[in-house]
Amino acid sequence: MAAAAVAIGACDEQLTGGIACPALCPGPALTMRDTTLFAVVLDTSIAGFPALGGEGRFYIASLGDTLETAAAIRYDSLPKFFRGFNSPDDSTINVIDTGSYVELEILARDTLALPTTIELYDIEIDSVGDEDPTTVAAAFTPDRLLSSRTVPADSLRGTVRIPIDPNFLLSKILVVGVLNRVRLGVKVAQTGNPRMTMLTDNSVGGATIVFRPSLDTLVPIIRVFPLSRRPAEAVIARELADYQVVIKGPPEPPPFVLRVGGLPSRRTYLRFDIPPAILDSSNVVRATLILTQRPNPAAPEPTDTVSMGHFGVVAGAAVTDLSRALGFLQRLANRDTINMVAADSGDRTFEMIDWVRLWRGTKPEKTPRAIAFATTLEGEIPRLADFFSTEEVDASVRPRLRLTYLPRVGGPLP
Amino acid sequence: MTTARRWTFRALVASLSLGGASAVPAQGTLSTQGLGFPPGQLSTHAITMGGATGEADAQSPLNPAAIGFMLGAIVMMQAEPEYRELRIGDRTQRTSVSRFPLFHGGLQLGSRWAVSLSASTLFDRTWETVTRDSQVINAETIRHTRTQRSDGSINDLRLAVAFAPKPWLRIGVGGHALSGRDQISTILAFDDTVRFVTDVQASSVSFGGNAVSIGAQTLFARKASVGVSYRKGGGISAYEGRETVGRGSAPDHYGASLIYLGITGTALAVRVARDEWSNLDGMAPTLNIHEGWDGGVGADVTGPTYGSRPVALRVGGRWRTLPFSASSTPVKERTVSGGFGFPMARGAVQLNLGVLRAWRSDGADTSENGWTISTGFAVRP
Repeated sequence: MAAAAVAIGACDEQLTGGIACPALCPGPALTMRDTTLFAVVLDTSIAGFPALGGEGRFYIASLGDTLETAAAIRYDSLPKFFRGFNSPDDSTINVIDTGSYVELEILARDTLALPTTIELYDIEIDSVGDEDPTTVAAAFTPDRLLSSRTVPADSLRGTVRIPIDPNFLLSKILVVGVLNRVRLGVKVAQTGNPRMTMLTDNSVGGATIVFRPSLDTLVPIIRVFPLSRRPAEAVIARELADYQVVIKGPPEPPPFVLRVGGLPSRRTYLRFDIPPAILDSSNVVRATLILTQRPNPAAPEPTDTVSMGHFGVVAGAAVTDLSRALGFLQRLANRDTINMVAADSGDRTFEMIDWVRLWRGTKPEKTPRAIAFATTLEGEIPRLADFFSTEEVDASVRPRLRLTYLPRVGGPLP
Repeated sequence: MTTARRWTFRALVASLSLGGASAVPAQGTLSTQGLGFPPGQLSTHAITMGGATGEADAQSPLNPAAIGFMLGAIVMMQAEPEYRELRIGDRTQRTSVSRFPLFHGGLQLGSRWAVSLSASTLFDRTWETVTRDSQVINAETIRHTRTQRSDGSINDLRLAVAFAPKPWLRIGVGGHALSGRDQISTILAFDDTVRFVTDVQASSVSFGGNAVSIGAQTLFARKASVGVSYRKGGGISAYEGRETVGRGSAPDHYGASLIYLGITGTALAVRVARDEWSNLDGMAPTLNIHEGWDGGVGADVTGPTYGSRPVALRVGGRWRTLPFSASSTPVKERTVSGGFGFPMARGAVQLNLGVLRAWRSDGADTSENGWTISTGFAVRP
């Protein structure tokens, strides 16, 4: 009965509107405080995102001294037999008809640009390429050029066929052993329109070798899809069926510069130390990270827009390798990206209140107070943005964190 | 670190002339200041008679001796929605509050004893204010809406025993546990939702205290009834978690009701009572507390019959000083009331209905009017 009685003693009042205030309203109001701190205690930018072979698209460009990129495609299993038309038995491949080609899936770009010359290279460098896939960058030499085709800009979209020498294919097919394979490189010439975007095997658009293993036109054609059998670890080998190759990239950023984007693409890691008096003993309502952009007119596509966003690093303290930690990022859906161009300079602000509120009441050992920056088309475009780091001599351009916060209420009745 | 400067949204309060009151803790209406609004711990029957029978009313948990005249077992509950209109100068604001201020159950034990258990609202601390505000930080104006909300009450849980040493006399004693909880929240919702997150700060304050009451009531058939009671307040404290954030004494209460029964079918009553509200000083740091008399007159006459039983017609008037105010000037309340008592189910059920019109004023240009509909439902099992 007592419990019921207490429960029944409830009330409810709705009072909306302000004429009673301030005379009859609770007060005084809470006063917001605002401070700007050098709260970043560790910052670095690390290249290699997405991981080699994990690309969804290849950005293939020949921008002179600025950037030169290509795609490497592995066909580590070539057919040795075919079945003729209405034939019950397999036949050995000992001839390839003319008309063999490599089929590429191209994403349309500027249809008013100049024609693009797509080149195919034989980038087989034996076991060296198996050990370090990036070494194939040195194999894009004129003597390894297999074929090329110049495609008008309005045709540079969808499926594009690049001819390949049937004798070259046959020679590879007839090899017995490990080298019964083809390693192709796709590149664009520097003349004309020196850039294009191509789908990868990850996006079910990998380059395909197509040939007819007979002079008889009734014999069905054979399609060879990307496949990697090296290294021995199956997971890694599978990823390396095709991958981005950076033949010549932009210079490494100096130590006092944080880079986001580029090719190979970089992510920037920032770890914070916010005074507990603010983080845990007050309510932060706004947290703005201020990064000062360092102009980089020598960057690829320096006047084109790059979008970047910030992510929470969700890897725990057990992950001490920052390059691995940067692989465990969480995005907040309600946060917009920031657009900028590499050639610009000035302060850029990033609202990170969601992360700061998340860190309240947590221990840094379990929930690292770190965020990361990455471009939205990471690895698909070469655009980048450089920012001054905490190692910059001029303190006025180092990363700063502006916090607006309120004291906690409590204590006597209002 | 930048020192911030705060200013209140001038446009909203430009017409107000209550200078200096902004620093006073207050809750948006005249009647809910301080620790809250005291409904009075009166039953619908008593409150529609201006509270005049309060010290001699078995259903009002004031005089423990009064339960001796319950004549059997009874369970009752009460609802009291109030519709307020606050006037400041020539501006008006309407609010409403829904209360369940009383639950009471009791029974007679033999011919001399009676016991009851009741829960009543001592203070209603439910309010909400919404204010547009802004603050300038580094030449940037940050606009927001501040909502301050209190949801709770301090309740009086009373266990009373009455004894009849003489057929015309009842004496009683009651033990009171004062308890309650108040959920207080302050919400700052910023206009700029991209860069700011809404700040919600909530705290819970609980109350605990005790009191003891004694009383006596006489009944001289067809002549009069007199009831007197006294409640001695014990300690009362406010807690936030395990920390005591306020400490005081429960208010002493003393009152007397005189009911004249010399006219057949008519009861004329007068009551005077006083509560020592200042005992609560210390529960909060900036309370403006005022002592004052609570007086009322009322009449209950037998009206037309409903079924085979007569309907009671009631009317009353009440004057009192509210215990808390926003400024040093006390808030005076005047109330007129009227109502009915409908017997149902051959008297096993009693429905009491009353309408109260209250005027409250702090003597300046702030006033508050309220309509209250009091509904009491009593069952004799």
